Amino acid sequence: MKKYTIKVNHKPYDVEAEPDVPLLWILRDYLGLKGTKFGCGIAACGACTIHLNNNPVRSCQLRISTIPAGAQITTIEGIGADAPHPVQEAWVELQVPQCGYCQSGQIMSAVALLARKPMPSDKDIDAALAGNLCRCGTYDRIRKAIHLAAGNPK
Amino acid sequence: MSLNDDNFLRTGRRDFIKRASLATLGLAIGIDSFSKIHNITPHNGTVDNFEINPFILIGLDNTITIVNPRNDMGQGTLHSVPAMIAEELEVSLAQIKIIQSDGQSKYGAQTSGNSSSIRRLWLPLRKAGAATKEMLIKAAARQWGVLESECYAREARVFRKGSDTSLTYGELAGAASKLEVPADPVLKHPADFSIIGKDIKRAEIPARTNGKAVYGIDIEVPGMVYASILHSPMIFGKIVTIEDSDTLKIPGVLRVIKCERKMIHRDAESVAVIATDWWAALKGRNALKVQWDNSNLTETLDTEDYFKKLCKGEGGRHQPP
Repeated sequence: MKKYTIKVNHKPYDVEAEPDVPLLWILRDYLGLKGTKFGCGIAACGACTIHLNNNPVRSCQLRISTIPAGAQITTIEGIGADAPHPVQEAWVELQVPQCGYCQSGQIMSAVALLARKPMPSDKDIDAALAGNLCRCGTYDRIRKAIHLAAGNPK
Repeated sequence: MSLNDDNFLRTGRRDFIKRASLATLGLAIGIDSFSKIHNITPHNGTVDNFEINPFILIGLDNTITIVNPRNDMGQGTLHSVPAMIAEELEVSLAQIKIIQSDGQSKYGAQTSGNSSSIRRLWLPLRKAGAATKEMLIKAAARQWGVLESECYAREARVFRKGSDTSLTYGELAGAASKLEVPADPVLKHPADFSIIGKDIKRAEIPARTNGKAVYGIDIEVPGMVYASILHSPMIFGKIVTIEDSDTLKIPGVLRVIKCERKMIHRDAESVAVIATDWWAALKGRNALKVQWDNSNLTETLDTEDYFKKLCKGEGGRHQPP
């Protein structure tokens, strides 16, 4: 067991863990931040997407020992913590989720996309969210909601 | 806790158990075989909440709680099932709290499947709502000394026709709970529906956009441990040997257990690794060395071979014409 300090949603946490524990399980089982979901464990579904220094990454593949010191980790709990983020508002407006299990990951990818590209095209959206799978099949509403959050005339 | 409180999925159940235990006065209507409503339990005591029937709790503060007895797996029963009660009870969805049933037998079967949630609950739950509404109207009519036909219900209140006089359901629930449950309440005509069939936003959606919705995998109970199960790479394989010395060296691993699952045609065998956290359980499972006997199989299907075939576009996948 080793000691690590990580910063999640602007809050520092001291964690004692084996070096190979993926951030996903640190968040869920060690810190109790259950909003980030486990889907496949092999970076194939995107349910565990979080932001590492504002970039979307699969937390199931990010071992605690490889997280750079001082890195900013943002989870779904850190999005719209004070007031709903425009992406979350659009998700509610268009009633995007069905079961909702994949939606934390979808939203993390969407927020990162809009930060990088405020007015994305359909193609940009499809490319940025290609790694986020939804078994309910909410892709059409996800695309519309991202346009709505972006303020795209459409 | 309100319908629009996105935290309700997390706190609803616990809050409900607390409230339900307080609800010692009231009249419970049970649904028997999903066909008729009947009076099961008259209680006596003091409360802040009346369980007029298992699916409807009415608080003295006029908070209306409706229990959803079906699993919501994305098909929307957390909205559609309570909507059937709310429609006949004459409460708007904005006035109610929706909570998930907790497994008690008074809620009947609490599984979802066969697209049966609406079909099987359509009449029983509407009748439960309508019966409760009729009891509330009767209680108001008695209080005012008028005929029931002089009263009507809207938005969790009973009004006296031709006047501004009204009483909230919360004010009437105590008296209503002492009345006989109508066996055959009058249901609304579909033309008069204000909730069913209308495009109304689902209350639990915000919780599904901010990480607060609670799923099975998120549940923690005191002293909980985690398991990861190794199955045979071939269906119905039998275990010959389990080598678990590497598994047991992994920090967090507690035990290795051979499991048998009774299936319809044959029993399936597997090995479960129990650990303090899921990652340790998974690592432990990956460190297991299990020898499987697949000799009893008449046909062979190997997971890895099959996966390789799928990767090459062969095996099982329908080719476009």
